[in-house]
Amino acid sequence: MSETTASEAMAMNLSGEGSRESAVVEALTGDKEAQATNEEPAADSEVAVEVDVEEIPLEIPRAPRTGFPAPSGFQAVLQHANLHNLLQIESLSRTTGVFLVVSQGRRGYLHLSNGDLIHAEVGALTGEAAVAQILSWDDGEFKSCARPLGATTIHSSLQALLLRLARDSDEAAAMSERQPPIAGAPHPVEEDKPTEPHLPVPSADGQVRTGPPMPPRPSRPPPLPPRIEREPASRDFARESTALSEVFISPSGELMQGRGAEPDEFSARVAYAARLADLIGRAIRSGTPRALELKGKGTQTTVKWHADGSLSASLEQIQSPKMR
Amino acid sequence: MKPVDALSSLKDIDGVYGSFVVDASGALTLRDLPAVIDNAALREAGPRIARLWGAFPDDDPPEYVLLEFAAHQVFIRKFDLGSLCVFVPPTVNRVALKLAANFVARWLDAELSAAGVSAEPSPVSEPPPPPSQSAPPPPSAKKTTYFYRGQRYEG
Repeated sequence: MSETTASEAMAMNLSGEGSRESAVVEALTGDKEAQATNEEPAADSEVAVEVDVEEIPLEIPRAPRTGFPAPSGFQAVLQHANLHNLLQIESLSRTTGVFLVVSQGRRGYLHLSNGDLIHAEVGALTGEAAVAQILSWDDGEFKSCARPLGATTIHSSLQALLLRLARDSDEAAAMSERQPPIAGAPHPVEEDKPTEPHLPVPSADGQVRTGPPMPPRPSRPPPLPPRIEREPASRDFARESTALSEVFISPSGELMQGRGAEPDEFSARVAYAARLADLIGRAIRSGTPRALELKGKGTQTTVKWHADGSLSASLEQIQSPKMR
Repeated sequence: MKPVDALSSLKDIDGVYGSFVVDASGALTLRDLPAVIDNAALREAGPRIARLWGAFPDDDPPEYVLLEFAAHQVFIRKFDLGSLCVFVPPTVNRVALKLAANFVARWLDAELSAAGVSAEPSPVSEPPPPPSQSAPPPPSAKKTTYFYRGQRYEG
């Protein structure tokens, strides 16, 4: 494993700190495309060729033979492109289709439905395990193919999945760096010192003498002190909460229901915070938030999004428990 | 300790994906995140994060904000000179995360104030470029310096 972690490599790719060669984008047609894919142009349409129809890349215009219409739009050859980025581009474009990934003789499929990665397969592997394997490939080709969409085996959002896989990849790299040295490999003399007092210690004259016998080890550790009962875990830091205000806000921002102290002012603050949270979610491509918690020194505001776009929120006073 | 090491220490908490820091005006200052979240996204989110603290009651100093999305959460901890944002799974140990974020926030306060960063937001925000303009920014344009995995970047 190289010293550069997966996420570092991706960062370099995005920030342009990696290879300075620019991406090459060409509009390919006919013979040009055949050259780019190292395929011989069909010289004789009568030659019988065994073709798996589902795996024909859509960018190869073989409409007369397969029945697939020649696709419109640009086709691209991107050098040094990152598979994560290509996948994100297709996700942002809300693409529906199947992508064939070929790398060193291995083939994998990524199924996108309206930009969501719903299924992946590599040989017998499916789901997130297949995505992890495909995204671990360093180079190859990424192309659309006419395979039908598979059943959903991936339930995480693409963003969350990529984050998790990048973290797992970094952790695996860090673990491999921390592997203990191979047995028998040379190591510093200091490590040869005995770490247990009962082991024989070489004396100055080179004779090994065994010390006095050690007392037998207890079979069980000493008993732990009695358990200290705590407050229920649902109480945040053992504090008690009391609702000061509750509001229900319509999708258009109107206060539909409110009770407690100053519901109008509270609903305005909730609507503002919810709007900002919504914009933050869009910016980081995480979608609409489900909930928002604003914790102050003395109060806590909890906002929940409902399916129809309405919001409910509560303001609670946080009180420290009395000393007993 | 380097700034990026401080952010990396948050990954001691099981499940933490990564983190970034914006200053009081929302400008991206530091990042330790996988590249699936690019700097453009963070720059867009930064000013909104800085404004989130305005949603707190005037008489209640803010402590943190937790944004829950379908598959992950963003824990945002305010400190004097900006906001520390941490991407975590829903299953994260929140108590441990709060404590770790407190340590990092204190460290950032000390380091950034020593570096002369002001707690006041920038008086004039940088205008967004017009959509039709593709020319690079002029040499005098303000650049943000940030660190990622021990490397210094500008942009």
